[in-house]
Amino acid sequence: MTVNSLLTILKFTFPMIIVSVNGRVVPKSEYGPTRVEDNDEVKVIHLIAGG
Amino acid sequence: MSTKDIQEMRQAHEVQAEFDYELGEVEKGYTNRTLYVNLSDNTIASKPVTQQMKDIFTGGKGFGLWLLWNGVTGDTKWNDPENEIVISSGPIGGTTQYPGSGKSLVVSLSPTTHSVIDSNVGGHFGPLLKFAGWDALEIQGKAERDVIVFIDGNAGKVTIEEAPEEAVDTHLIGEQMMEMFAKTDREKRDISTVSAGSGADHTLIGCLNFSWYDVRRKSVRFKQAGRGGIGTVLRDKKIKALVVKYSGSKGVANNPADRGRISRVGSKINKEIRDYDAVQNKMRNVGTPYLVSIMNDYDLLPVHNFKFGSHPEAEKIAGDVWEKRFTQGLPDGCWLGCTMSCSHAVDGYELRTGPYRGQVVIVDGPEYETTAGCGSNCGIFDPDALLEINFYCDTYGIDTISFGTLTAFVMECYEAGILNEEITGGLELSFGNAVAAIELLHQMGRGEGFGLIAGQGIRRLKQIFAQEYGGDPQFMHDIGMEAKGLEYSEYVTKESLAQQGGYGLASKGPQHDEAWLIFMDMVNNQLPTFEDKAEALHYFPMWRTWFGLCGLCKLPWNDIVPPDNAETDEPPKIPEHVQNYVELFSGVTGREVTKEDLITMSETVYNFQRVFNLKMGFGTREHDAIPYRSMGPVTVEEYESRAERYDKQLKELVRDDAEGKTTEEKMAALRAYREEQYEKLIDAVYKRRGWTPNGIPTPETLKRLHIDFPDMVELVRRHIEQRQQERDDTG
Repeated sequence: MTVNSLLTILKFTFPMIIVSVNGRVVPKSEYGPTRVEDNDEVKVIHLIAGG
Repeated sequence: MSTKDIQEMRQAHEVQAEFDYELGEVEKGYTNRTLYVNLSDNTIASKPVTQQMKDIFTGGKGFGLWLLWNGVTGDTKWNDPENEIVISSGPIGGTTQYPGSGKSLVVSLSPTTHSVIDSNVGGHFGPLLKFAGWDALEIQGKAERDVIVFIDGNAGKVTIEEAPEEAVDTHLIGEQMMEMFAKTDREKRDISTVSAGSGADHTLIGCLNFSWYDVRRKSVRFKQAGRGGIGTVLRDKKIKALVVKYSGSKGVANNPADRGRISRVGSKINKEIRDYDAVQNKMRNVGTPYLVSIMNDYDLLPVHNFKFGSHPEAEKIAGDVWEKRFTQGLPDGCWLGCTMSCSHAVDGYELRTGPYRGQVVIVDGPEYETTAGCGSNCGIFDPDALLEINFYCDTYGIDTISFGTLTAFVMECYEAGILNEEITGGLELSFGNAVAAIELLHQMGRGEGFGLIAGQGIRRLKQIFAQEYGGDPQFMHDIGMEAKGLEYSEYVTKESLAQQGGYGLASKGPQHDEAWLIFMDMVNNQLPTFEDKAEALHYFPMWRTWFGLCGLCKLPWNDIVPPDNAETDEPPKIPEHVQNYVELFSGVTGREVTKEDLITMSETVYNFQRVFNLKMGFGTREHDAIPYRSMGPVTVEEYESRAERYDKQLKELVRDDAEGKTTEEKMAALRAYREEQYEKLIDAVYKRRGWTPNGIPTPETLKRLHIDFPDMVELVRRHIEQRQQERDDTG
């Protein structure tokens, strides 16, 4: 699975997010090629301002 | 309207009082005086702003709360003459170099909460009031007949004038005041009005409209101080309009201590907005409606009275729809110099209903709250219906959030059989019936029919529906989305304990200006423990309410982020922008501060407001309760719509595998768990804030914040001792 497909499964559609895999921030341009393996620590932080 | 019409209106005025004053200069963000107007005895006076006021209360909401505290007693009702409306911007208000620096805060006693309410608003009134010579406008008393109050900041004169001929509805009187007081077209930009409307005469949910003149559209535009019914208070005082005129607004009219400092941070953020807004939230093209599709995707958009968080038709009222309807390429800032420019409008809209049917108007909005509240929450997904509702709420002076949330409640009661067409006078108030919802609004404007009942707000409606129509009080208590008497704003909080607290613990009632933690909590999982949530429910309300002390809009804080924000220690705080505000405050006032000082400023006023609630008979733990709909599924339909989620939570969190249980039994188990969680959250938050377990700021907290005034300390001590006595009595 890639970061892109993971975001699709989770329905994380908000554009301003920070994705890190095992502590490394993944640039948006690398969501496609970056793979996520079992037991990887993945964090997705949404920088959403809200109301 | 013709020049002759305006002249005749002016000639019909009878001046009740006049007050001449020396025009002054703003000094580092302050004029150092406030204007007091009493409509009962026609007193107009200047009051000094002391150094203590600036040191403790900063400005804006702080000044408003201080003046109101001294104007009312604990027994004052919202419609007593002693109640006040106080309008103040704050030391940074009127700055043009930094985006979002034109806000005002309005403070009063609310007709629905019966306690102190504050509401923030854009438009030009606050800055022009300051440049006209006043840090705040304090209105007390009631006029015998309809009046306007005119503050002429060019001539140095304030008048109270009976105004029998002017309209009440905002889109008319806003233009009338512009035409009446502008001697030339150029002068129109120097005038701003505050008005409500006929809906504020007949409901408890009246809002205020603050105007500005849009020089490109050559029309008057409006922003709203929506929450809490202050428009109703305005009309109860028989005020048709407050008008300020000041010519000469310029970039340095706020007379900052260090122009260079504010220009540097202003240039930086303005460039950031121009470079990145289009790839972030598109505030300059779409504005706050960008949130609709996001909330829908994340199951947070209120649908059918907050029952659900998404709907397949939400795309019909999403941001891209509004982007096409809004006129693009115009400077849509609600104060000068705002590059965020998010006050969008639909031009050339022909009204289809109501007393102004056929008129072609500008609709200011809709914002996200109106779209969600009057749209998805009511099951309405027709953009034209929303434009109709938005326009009429504004001109009638009715808060769109309260209208949307209470209409959603009424619709659920209708579908549950508590109401019927006989009760509603023929209005089939089912979810999705836009025609009925719009007619309900017109009834509020006319003061008749079921609209007259509905406009009293959810807290009162629950009582009426139980007493008059046999509605189940517990059911209505669970689904009636109000807390402290104020209707909820438009986010589904069932899966975010932190946001449940953000709403339930908010000083004025469930308005999200204090805390918006849904994503940090529910999606990002950045607040896993009670202590994490409590810390967020300390920092973010204090940070977010700081803007209201200074005349600032919160949107430029985090609706745009620097490109490297992700690499900072605390990305949700947007640290670079926090530092901008440190520079901005110090640059304007000359007072050197740190980011921690900004929090302390806010914490001081926040705790003062909490004790003010206590003074008015509220302000304790029981008043921080929230309806169960905001915590979890009330109906079987709700539970079963998200059964997988809830069953999983029962298993993992409640340790109940729910095998063989009915849906009702599972709901009861989940409810017990969630209600207990909320109580634990409150315990953690009170402790973090330096409050007692009953939610009262301790004398030590008041002392730390330099608000240990004798009457405040006596008030909190009395409540703490009373509570201790109750505990002793019950053993």
